[in-house]
Amino acid sequence: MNPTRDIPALVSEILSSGQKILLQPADLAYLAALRFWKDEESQPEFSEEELHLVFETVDRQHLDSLEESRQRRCNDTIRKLLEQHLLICLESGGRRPHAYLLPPVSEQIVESICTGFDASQTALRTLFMTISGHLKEIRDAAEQDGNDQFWKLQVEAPLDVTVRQLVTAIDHRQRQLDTEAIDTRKEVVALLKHDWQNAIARCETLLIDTQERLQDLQQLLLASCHELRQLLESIGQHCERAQRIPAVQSVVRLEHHLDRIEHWSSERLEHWENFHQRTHQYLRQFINMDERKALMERTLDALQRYPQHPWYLHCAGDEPLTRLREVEAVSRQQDNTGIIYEDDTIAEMDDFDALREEVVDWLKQLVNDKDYLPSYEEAMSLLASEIPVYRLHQSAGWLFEAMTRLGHQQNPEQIPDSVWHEIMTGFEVESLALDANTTSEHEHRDAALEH
Amino acid sequence: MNTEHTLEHTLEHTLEHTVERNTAETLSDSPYNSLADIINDDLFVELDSRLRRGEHIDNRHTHFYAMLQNGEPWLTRHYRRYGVDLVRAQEDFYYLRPNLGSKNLIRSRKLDELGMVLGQLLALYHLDPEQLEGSGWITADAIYERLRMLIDEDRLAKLLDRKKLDTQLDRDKGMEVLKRSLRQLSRLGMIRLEGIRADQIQTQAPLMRFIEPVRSAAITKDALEQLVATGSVCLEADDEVADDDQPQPSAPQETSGQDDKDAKETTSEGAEV
Repeated sequence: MNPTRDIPALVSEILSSGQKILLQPADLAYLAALRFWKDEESQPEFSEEELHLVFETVDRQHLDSLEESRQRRCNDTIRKLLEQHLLICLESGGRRPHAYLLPPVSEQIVESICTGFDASQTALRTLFMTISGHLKEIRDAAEQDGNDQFWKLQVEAPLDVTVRQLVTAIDHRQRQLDTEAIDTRKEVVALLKHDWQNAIARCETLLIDTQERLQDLQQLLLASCHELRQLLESIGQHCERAQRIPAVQSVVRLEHHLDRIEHWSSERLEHWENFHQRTHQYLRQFINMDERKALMERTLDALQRYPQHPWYLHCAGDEPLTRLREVEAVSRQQDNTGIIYEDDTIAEMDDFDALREEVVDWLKQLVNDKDYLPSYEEAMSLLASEIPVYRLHQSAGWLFEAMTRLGHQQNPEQIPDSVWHEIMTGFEVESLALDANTTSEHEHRDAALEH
Repeated sequence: MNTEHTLEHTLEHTLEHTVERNTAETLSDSPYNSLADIINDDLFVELDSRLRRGEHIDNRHTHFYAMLQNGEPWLTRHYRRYGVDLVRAQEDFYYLRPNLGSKNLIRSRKLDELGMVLGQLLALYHLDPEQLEGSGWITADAIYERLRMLIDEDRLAKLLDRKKLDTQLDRDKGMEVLKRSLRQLSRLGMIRLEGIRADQIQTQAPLMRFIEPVRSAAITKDALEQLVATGSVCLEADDEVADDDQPQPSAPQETSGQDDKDAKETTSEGAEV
């Protein structure tokens, strides 16, 4: 399947094609038998006679099957499988009899539903080793570099086809492990419920075996994924250098797939550990099953006879300590605080100087337009309408500074030397006035803020 | 009076002896050397508040549980001064049990009838190996259905504060009452609640307090009276000890907003462990 195709297109294509798969148990059994036959005889193709022969062995096991109609049933089944593309007929143009093939989809159906995947450590290790071997070849090819055809055949196709399929095969095996874990849980519970002899010992063994197996697998997965990741990384670097975008995309996809595999493994181990722990606790607490059963019966009895024997459990029930006042301190004067927009405003330190320049230029322009130096309040309110509110706090200081400078240049004799009064430790106020008439509070405050 | 005094004195004396012995035993591997050490532990305030609120602490609460294990002798004596016993149950969890002495400085309360019925039912779940398959998780719906099977309908309706349990509305309202009770059990550390609407319940070992009267034999008045003597249970619904503000099922002030808040609290507690 082309991985880049989008979902809606795929869905509409499937819907309009009218494809479907419909399998009865007998059909599945037939497919499984075909696959088994194929493995045993190690031949990829079947002749028509062979198809009939296999069908006969399956059909014989049907209790109510009639021999005389077997031929017809066999033909029907083959036709049904052919229609659903679960069996492929290779036409030979009349010179030879037709040959039949089991396509991968049928094999996978049989594997997933009937036989299950081999999820042993050996199987997984082999898969990982194969992938690692392929990846090494791909890495060497990518390192070697070549023409377009070379990249397609030696890097991109193997990544997309071989490696992808192998990684998917690991996925399938993980699903298999999930099923096995569920079965083990059921088995443990059944053992404990049916009060078998030695149930506890058997549970212990089951639990320990599964735990060890999962741990082994996790170690294998972690180590192997680490190795594969390193290989993929170096392939990715070569691809980037050669600017092979599709190859880079394939590498990224595979990396994500590996992430999923790793994530699955740690998650399952955690799930299993919870179960393991809980079961152990249970075994510890209710070790004697006869006693536990009797206890359950007595509890049920007590519950049902509760109206005749009412009782009430006694627990400590102190109220939380009374909170006499709010823990949060009252916030300081509103106009002394401002929000610092980290991501937005402090993007670069250079911005500060640029902004400062902007304020200075803006003031110069204003003075030119008006022909006089406006009051701080006036300038501030004009500035406020021009710049975003969150920059106002910074700009207030710069504006004040610029106005002081400008005022100083215009009327040096009216500006007294700056006088700073310490009003508390580390906090000083500059006493300043731009002209004799206005000594605004704002100026004091902003000067203090600047400081 | 005099006899009482002597008895109390002897008790205290014995207790001190036990404490000293235990202290000597645990001294080697305990991080605490005195009660002051425990009280100075940053976690003590939280542990103390939880115990006083009636929470049962089991090994899910790794740190609190370790503190209780390490400081058991000192803490036992400490809480004894308030007129409560720090109990370590057979299933390995700690809780404060009001004793029936004269000084009861930590308030106590008792569960209501619905809480008792639910607690016993959940204890039954906890005992059943079938719970292991889902790691002890049950849905609130399953509990509701089990109650319907076990308890006569009129009685269940009364417990859930309804006249009848016929309609979907009755069921929804009844479910709200049930969940309120579940949240109470969760605050006591007896179950864990999870899910957006707190409708997943995981049973916990402290539920075993509900099987105390039947531990060794079928329930009898004698068995219950023995437990009454320890302060673990009481037999009267309107006992004077229950002078607290335990929410009544029909209390109108218990708004859904409050419910949500409760659910959130308990859920986050669940997550914390």
